[in-house]
Amino acid sequence: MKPVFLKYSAWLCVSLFLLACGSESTDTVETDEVTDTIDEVVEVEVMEDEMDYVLPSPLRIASILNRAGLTYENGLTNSYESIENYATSVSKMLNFGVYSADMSYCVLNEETQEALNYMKSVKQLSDDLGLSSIFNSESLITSFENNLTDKDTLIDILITVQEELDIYTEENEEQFMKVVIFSGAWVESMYLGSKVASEENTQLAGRLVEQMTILDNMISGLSKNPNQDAVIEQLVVDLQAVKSIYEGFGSMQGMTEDDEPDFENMTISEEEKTALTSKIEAIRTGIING
Amino acid sequence: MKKAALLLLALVSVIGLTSQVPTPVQDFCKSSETRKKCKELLKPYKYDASKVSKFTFRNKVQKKEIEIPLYIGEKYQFVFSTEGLPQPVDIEIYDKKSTSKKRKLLFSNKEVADEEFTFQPDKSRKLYINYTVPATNDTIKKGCVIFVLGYQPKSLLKKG
Repeated sequence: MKPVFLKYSAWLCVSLFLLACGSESTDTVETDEVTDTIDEVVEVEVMEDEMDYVLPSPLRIASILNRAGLTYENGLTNSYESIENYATSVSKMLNFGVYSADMSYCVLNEETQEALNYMKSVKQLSDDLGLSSIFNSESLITSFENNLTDKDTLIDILITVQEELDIYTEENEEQFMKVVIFSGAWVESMYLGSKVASEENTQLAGRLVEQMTILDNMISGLSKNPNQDAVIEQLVVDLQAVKSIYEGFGSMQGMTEDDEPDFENMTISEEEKTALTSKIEAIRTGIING
Repeated sequence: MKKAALLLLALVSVIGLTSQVPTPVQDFCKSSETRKKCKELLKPYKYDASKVSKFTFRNKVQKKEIEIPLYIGEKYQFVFSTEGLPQPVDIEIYDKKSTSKKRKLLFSNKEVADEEFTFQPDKSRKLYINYTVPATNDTIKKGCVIFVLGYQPKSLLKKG
């Protein structure tokens, strides 16, 4: 009887020893968490992303510029045939945004056949990027094709695509992808706006300047650049240059963070407009050339 | 004796193994279901953007600020859902950043009883949502607030 008891006691000791050894690393983490929970000292913690932001949809930007006089001009948008030039993930993301902005521009100006071509390009890029779920197979494309004369329905389809993209990037923690796509759309919208803006249309110029207020958030989001992509690094530098041009505008002088610029009635000089337009055009050329 | 030793061994093993399993952190966030409710509340406004803010309740008060870009002349509606929270979070909307001494409080959820609620700003300009997550000594829990931004559809149409 005694040897049997000793044998099982030995197993018990070995088991306990192994359990203790095997749990070392996990215990450390758990202890931290538990200590964190029962500690009674209450203090304010700065969350990892204490400052966060929401970016508007490309459709929203296009519609605001459209109401301010952004009319359709043939040949301004990026050719949908250029899609073959986009080989890297980053160029696909940026041009997903560019085509989204072109698609919104075409829909709002009722160039719906052209809009359909952009919709197909956006779909192809989304498949390449693993975002095909946002199009719910082919149903959105089919619905788009079947409603080319119904602007309101086309707008609803663009909204659905945006909402699905937001859900996908949120659920898959792809916030960086979202800000890259948005940056492509933003640059294209600014390009279209600056090309169409004329001296007479001061309202459109003011609304373009209003768009500069989201630059900080774009720069902040792009700067995370998890793969240290050189194209993104350059884009950050370029957008910082755009920000410097904007901050140098005469109408922005003396403004503090608490001031609210009157973008509806803001005017910019021809030199200021040229400086902004040239920079935006250069950034856009870099993006659409892949 | 052999039986008793075996029982003892089994008991200790069970205790040992169960202590190995980390206490599961309860996550109350069900974003896809909650989004549907927010979308219903958004009507007749149209979807523009959204943000799911996830929180882990700890023994410290936590703060988060979200900048919302609103464009002049547009009409917006904010929809919030706190359904995915294990305990209340303070939600406040200000006209300026938390670093500004001149900022004004435009909205607070302190008087709101519903899990879903809306806010329509009088003026369209940048606004700031502030979440204050209270400290808790309870077990670790996770949750989220869903925010959806909508705009008035007629603003899509070009001015006559």
